[in-house]
Amino acid sequence: MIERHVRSPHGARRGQSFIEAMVAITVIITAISSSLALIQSSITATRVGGMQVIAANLAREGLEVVRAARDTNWLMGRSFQVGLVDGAGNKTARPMLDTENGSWTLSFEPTSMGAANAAVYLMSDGVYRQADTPPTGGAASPYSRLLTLQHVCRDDGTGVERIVGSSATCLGSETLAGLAVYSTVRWRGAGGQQQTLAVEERLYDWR
Amino acid sequence: MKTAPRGITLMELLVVMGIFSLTVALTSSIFLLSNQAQRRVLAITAAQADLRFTLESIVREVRAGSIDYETYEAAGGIQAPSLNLIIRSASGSRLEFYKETNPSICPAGVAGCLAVRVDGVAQSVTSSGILLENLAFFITPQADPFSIDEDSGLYKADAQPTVTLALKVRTQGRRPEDIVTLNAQTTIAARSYVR
Repeated sequence: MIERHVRSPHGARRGQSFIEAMVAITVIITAISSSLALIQSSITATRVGGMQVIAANLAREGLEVVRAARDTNWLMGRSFQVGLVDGAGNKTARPMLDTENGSWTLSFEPTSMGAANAAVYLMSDGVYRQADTPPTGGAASPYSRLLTLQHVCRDDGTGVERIVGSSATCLGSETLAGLAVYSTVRWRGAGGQQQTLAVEERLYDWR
Repeated sequence: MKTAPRGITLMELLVVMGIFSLTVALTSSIFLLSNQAQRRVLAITAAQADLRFTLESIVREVRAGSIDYETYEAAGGIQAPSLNLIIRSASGSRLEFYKETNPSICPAGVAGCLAVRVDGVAQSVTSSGILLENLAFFITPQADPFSIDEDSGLYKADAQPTVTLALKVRTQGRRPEDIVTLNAQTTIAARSYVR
């Protein structure tokens, strides 16, 4: 290194200038920090992927609970919508598991995605549950889940279908043909960012 | 005229050695960190892939087949949670999903795995390096909705068969970064419309 230093015409050694040193340090710091950032992002991305698998399954669970409720209505010989359309006009629901017998019910208690009662708890036996109040033996999980069941109305004359939003119901000239079910799972990811996964299914009154 | 090369002073040597060792320490720590991260990523990916495969294989069977209520009834009924899931597949064979601890069935070095017994022959569903810690099934209704109770003349239950499965897997490894635990749960409604 020392031999390579250029000598000035006066014979004195010229050292590295401050600018050169700064440039060198900047380059090194950039290289190190970018590699660290790369590592960090790869860990985060993988963890997000892992949580996404769990979220997708929780979301599917919501859809399947509604489907099972509709199929149960068929087996009982009653209208497909019993228990799926709230009398008070609430269209958001939470699937509730009864761990005593494994059966599911839909709770139309007022709730929203950010509400405490939309949270999913992880029980000590590895079961995810939603409850009105934190269940004993359950730890808070990063997930929240909400179902939205909107009416699919078919016009009796034209046969045209439409999904009615908010608290509206079908018009007099329409028939409730089915339900558009949205299952949304939201969770706080590894980096503290909020992630959302939504799945949709239309359930009609025919098999 | 040439001046004799000047040697290195102790101070310069110390500074150089200091910087050098700092650089080496920094690079090696980055290397270790990236190595660790790589292992962690690998562990998460393995657990994730296995979880997905396991869940999907059970989901497929529940959708296409039907719950084997006869076998459950012979064994004293369905518990909640149930430790196994017995399915009569579309092709007529009997599948039983359960947690296996027998080392001759589980992959080498795994103390617990999710296994499927097809007509009496068991094999592991989870792959090597994945430990099944917990497995629970919730099967509803607990009586067959497609068979008639002889006493009452009515169907035994009026609900579409639904299976909820919860499983907890852990990757195996000696180092803490190799170990990842994942809890997954899903529910499947049977697609059989018999009545």
